[in-house]
Amino acid sequence: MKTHYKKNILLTLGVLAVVSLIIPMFVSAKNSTSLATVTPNINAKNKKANTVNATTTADKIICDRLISFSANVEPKITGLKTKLKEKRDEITNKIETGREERDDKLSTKREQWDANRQEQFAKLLEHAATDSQKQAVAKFKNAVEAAILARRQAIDTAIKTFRDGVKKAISERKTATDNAVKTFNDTVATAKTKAQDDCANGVDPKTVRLNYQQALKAARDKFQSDKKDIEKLHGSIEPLITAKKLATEKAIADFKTAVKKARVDLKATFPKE
Amino acid sequence: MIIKKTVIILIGIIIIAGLTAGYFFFIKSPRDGWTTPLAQIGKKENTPPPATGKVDDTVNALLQEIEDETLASQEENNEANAIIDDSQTISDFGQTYNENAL
Repeated sequence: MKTHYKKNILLTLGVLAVVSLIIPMFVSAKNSTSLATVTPNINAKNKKANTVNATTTADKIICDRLISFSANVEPKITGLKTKLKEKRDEITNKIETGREERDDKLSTKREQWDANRQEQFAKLLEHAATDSQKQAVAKFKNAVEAAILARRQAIDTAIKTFRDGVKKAISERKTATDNAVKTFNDTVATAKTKAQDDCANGVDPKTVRLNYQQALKAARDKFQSDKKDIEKLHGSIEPLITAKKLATEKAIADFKTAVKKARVDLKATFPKE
Repeated sequence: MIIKKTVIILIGIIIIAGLTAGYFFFIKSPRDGWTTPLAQIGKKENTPPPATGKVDDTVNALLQEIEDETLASQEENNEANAIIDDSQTISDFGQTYNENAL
């Protein structure tokens, strides 16, 4: 009896020991199964979150880059506007200074020739022996003075017409350039504002960038087309040069004709040389 | 004989170099955007001749003044070049950015 009781106790303890060993294994297996199921879910969520973060960062970089790019363009345009103004002032000064110098030079030359001409007339008069010869010299002098006056007036008018034409051409060039620069500047500024707004409104940054690039390209193409038109305006100078040349040549030809006639008249009464 | 040939070739090169430099210095190169009128190059100043009392000398003196008037008219053409001195600055506006760098 005592032995049977002892066996039962040992059997019970053995079963408990086996159960105590098996149960944790089942629990562990179950836990393992549930962990294996949960972990991929967590990983997927993390991955998605990372992707969103990465996209947001990349988008931000693109938008920041657009803003930074446009911020660099603006000072360049402003700087060029200043440079253009300085260049124009330089051109104006050059032209004005050049005109003053040429006017002074021509005026000085004319004074020299005026003085020389009086000496020439005086010498002619010294060689005039008779009253008719003296009258012929006086007539020659009047004819020459009139011819010189006419020639100088014609050349002065030709130069003035040319200068007025140049002034007009400069003004037209300035207006056309200012218009082209303004259009360019405004288009670039509008493109920038649109890019900033699009970025702020969550438009796909790649689309924003593409639109911005296209707008900038269009602005530059338009400006370059306008620039070609501006250069074409310079074509108005060539006819001015030609007109001045022809007017000068005519003034000189008229003068030569008048002097030739005066010479023939004088020679008719003047002693043989 | 070889030395003589070398000297001749060297002199030739120096002459050609001198002529080329002279050509570019006096004719081709604009000075501050202004070009030297061809009529002025290598010409002495046109000074009035002394009076002789002879009709032909007097007439020649009168005609000589024409040279200065013609030159004065020609020199105005320099302004044509000055007008477009701002061309490069205008062109630079088109170079303010490269949108492909975006």
